[in-house]
Amino acid sequence: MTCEWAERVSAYFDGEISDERKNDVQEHLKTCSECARYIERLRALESLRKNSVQEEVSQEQWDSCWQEIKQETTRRILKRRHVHFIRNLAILGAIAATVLIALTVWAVFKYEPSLQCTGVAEIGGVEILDYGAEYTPMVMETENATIIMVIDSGEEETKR
Amino acid sequence: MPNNVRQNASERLSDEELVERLRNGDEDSASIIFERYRSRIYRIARSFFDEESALDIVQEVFVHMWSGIRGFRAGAKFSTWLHRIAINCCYDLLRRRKVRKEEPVEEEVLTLRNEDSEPPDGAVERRELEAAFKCALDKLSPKLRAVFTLRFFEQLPYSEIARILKCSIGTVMSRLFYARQQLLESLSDYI
Repeated sequence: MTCEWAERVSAYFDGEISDERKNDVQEHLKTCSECARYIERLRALESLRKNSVQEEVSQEQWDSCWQEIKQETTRRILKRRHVHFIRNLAILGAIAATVLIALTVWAVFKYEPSLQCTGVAEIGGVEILDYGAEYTPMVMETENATIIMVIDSGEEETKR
Repeated sequence: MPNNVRQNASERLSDEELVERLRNGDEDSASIIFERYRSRIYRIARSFFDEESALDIVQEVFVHMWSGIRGFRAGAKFSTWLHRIAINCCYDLLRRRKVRKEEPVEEEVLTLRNEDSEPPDGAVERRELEAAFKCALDKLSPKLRAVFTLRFFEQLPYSEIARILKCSIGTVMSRLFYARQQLLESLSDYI
């Protein structure tokens, strides 16, 4: 087909063209022998479908096909449920592990030894705070600095 | 479900109602849908493959439909969705095979056409033409064949074909024209 109208003629044959264009195509068909012949050939092709013997599938084949469909669908649905179950289980496990780790981290960082000052004494300009047997911080004010001494289990640490 | 009740349901219920029932686990609805659409899906598959593979495609299409019914978007047209599954299954199988279906039909045509000593009667001519048509159809590319099949065998409007194939109406129109061109060229001895 060399006529540029051919595609429109094909759509016209299918009734898939607007009324306005339909008139144009009809007018064109009166003058273009190539398109007129094309329409005839499309009709011949169409008659091939109308006259062709429909291929039959036996009821037995359909029944067998249906049984296969039922089995395969059931298998796929069960498999999908199984996959969902495993996935949900994995998600729950991951959540539980995350919560456990978070709690552990929180507990480690949150823990502080309880320090409670139970007494204050000042001896010769040195303030002595009594935090019980383990910690005994001493605060000494000098001209240039404040010295805090923490005595822990007999060992001394000095922070400036 | 008893047969007569089932038959009534089959005639009475719309696709949408059947889909809704199927979503709620009603197996009979799947069976009714199967009976309603199996021949159409088979015809589409048959234009791509031989009888055995076409039945495999039908099976695959309905398994896809049933197991994926929850993914079917409410408000969409069920037949469009089902046809799309069918075309996609055909494309998939073509891709898996990567080679065109073997063409025994062509040999048959050649054999028939060489029997010139006796003029063929109408039935033989008809058979010969149908075989040549099948052979010509096999030569179309999958995209052209899909459009042609949906129009020629299923008589679907261009808009519906465009929705099934997710392309424009213009593309449908043009592919259909090229498909017809190629078919008519292949069948130039007959038509």
